[in-house]
Amino acid sequence: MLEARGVHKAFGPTRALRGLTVEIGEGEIVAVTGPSGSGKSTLLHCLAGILRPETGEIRFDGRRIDSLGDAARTTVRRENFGVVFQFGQLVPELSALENVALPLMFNRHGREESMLTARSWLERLGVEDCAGLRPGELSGGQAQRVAVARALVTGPRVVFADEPTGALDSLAGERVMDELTGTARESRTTLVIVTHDNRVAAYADREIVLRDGTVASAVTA
Amino acid sequence: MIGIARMLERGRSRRERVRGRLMAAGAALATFLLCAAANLTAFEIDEHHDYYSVFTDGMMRPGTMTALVLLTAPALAFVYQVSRLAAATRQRRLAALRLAGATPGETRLLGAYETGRSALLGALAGAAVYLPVNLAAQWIFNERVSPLPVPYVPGAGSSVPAVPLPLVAAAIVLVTAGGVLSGLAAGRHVVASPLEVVRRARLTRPRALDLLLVVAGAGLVFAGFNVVEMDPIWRSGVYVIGAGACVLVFGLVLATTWVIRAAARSAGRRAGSAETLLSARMVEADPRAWARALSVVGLTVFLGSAAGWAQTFVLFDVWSVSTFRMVIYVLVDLALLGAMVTSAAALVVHQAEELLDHRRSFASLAASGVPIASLGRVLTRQALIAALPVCLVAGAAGVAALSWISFSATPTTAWAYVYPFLRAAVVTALGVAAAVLVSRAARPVLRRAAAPGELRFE
Ligand SMILES: Nc1ncnc2c1ncn2[C@@H]1O[C@H](COP(=O)(O)OP(=O)(O)OP(=O)(O)O)[C@@H](O)[C@H]1O
Ligand SMILES: [Mg+2]
Repeated sequence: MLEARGVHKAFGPTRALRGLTVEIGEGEIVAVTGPSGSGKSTLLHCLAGILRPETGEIRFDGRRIDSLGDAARTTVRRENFGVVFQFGQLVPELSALENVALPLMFNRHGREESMLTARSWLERLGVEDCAGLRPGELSGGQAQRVAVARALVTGPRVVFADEPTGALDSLAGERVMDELTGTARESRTTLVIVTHDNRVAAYADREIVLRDGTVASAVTA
Repeated sequence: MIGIARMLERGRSRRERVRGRLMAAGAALATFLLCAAANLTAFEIDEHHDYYSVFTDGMMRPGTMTALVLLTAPALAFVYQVSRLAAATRQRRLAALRLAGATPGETRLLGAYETGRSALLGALAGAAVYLPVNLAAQWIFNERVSPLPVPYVPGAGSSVPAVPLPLVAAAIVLVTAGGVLSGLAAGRHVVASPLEVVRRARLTRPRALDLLLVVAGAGLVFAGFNVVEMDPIWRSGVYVIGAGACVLVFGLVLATTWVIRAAARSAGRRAGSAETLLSARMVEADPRAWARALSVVGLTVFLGSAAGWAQTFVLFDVWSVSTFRMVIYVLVDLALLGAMVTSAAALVVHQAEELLDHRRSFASLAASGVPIASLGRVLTRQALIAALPVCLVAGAAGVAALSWISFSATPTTAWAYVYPFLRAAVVTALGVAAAVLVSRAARPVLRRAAAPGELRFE
């Protein structure tokens, strides 16, 4: 459903991805691991249509998305993808509830309806008590669960997560991973997680190990 | 200490260099205007000169001086705004110094040294521009009526060139001190942590001081009008009115924070779209920054609408139309235009700061599929939410403030009563338009701020 074929991406002299090919199936949970600087985040951004590779193709549902213009890629992202980053992706000025409702409102859903849906997602992730708090008032684990709710609220087909537990201790990290993978399996959402934590990788169906911008090995759990 | 400061200065980034230069430019403008105001004290009071009475008439001169001093407000606001620019980078640098062992006092001193130096350079430049302008004016006007800083001695047939040097020095000291103080204030939040998490203090309620300033200012203005009649020789009342106006305006500027916050609150409560909700909450979270940037716009709108009453009675032939009066009105409008442009510059700086502040939020929203056009609307709506109430209040206050003039005259046409309101509406719209235009002009910068690369930084 999602594939990268012969992808090259360089930042100036740094060649982050060197002819990389991966394929990810519908409903699959994939962990991308590898040493620091091996190109994990870059791959994620390319797959999600945030960055454009110099050569190679990115396909989603068989359709090339790397050749699309900025506006068209943005539309693909908002209709099909959700993203979770390491930390800091919540808008600090909005409450947790408003943060989760925001993607729905950007998709032209009414305010009341969006808030109701957002609240049900906060409940599902066990952070409904934080609805009125701002990100600055949340703990790291709570903030990440709110971020997961924000990524899932529009019912995306693919969720991309870049070190979603990187800033958390192991207990809080496990909780976030439980919720993320649990919900993904329930709704058959494809999940691509970048991590350097073996315990996180253990949640995945498959592990893709990167080294120097190419796939070093693929391990099926 | 100075050695460290020099070392830091050599390592300044391009952004900080630009900031230094902008600060110096604002300081130069402020110094020039202060010098011009000081200059007026050198005139002999003399009421015979029709065209120059703005400078020489005992009644008008304090007004002109007040106007010049008020004109420094946008310039100083600009300086302050600029000192906030790139504050994050600068704070990180100062925080790194603290980690290297500098005490809080030392980091604040370093901050003060940086801004003080820019302000001093600017002040010297401003004075350096003022002096030749002044001397040239003396040379040109000397033989005629000596309207500029030449104490005119009626009948004596000669005049002594005068430059109020002590006052010029005072202006330089004042502007430099302002720079030092803003540097000290900017160093206030620096914490000794490489992560440098600064949480913004939330505003809770209006400070009593602001209301006190408004009341005190209004009281002084009112008292001044009464003193004018009691003291026709020294006209001390005019000075009292001038001082009162300054205090009043200062209080109003502080009050804009609460006007903006209240507007953002209600917009946020009612927002039906994501763009409006986001912009309302962003304004609500930091109304002070918007108030800083918009207070001069509000001040300009206030003065611009107030001037409408004075103009209407000349335009509609109630008072005699003299060339003198027309010239004054054109001058007033030119000064207001200048103030508007300066305050628009302050808005540009604020917009840049705002984008730097929110670049992570914008980048992550863009990554999750929010189009740049929507984020652009967020910027424009923020400007609207903040500028509309400020300009409306300022415009209405301006019309109300001078409406007493209408009691002292009986105009021949109803248009004389309509004109001030029309003018106030136009000036208000101009103020809002300036804010909105600045936010629209920032869209290309937004595109860069929302680029995925911004996700890499905390
Ligand atoms: N925007 C950018 N500008 C310049 N260089 C970049 C940029 N993004 C990535 N790189 C470089 O590309 C290489 C791969 O970076 P990437 O962020 O994909 O690594 P990573 O595997 O995610 O590492 P980590 O585990 O540390 O997050 C690195 O050498 C990095 O320096
Ligand atoms: Mg990474």
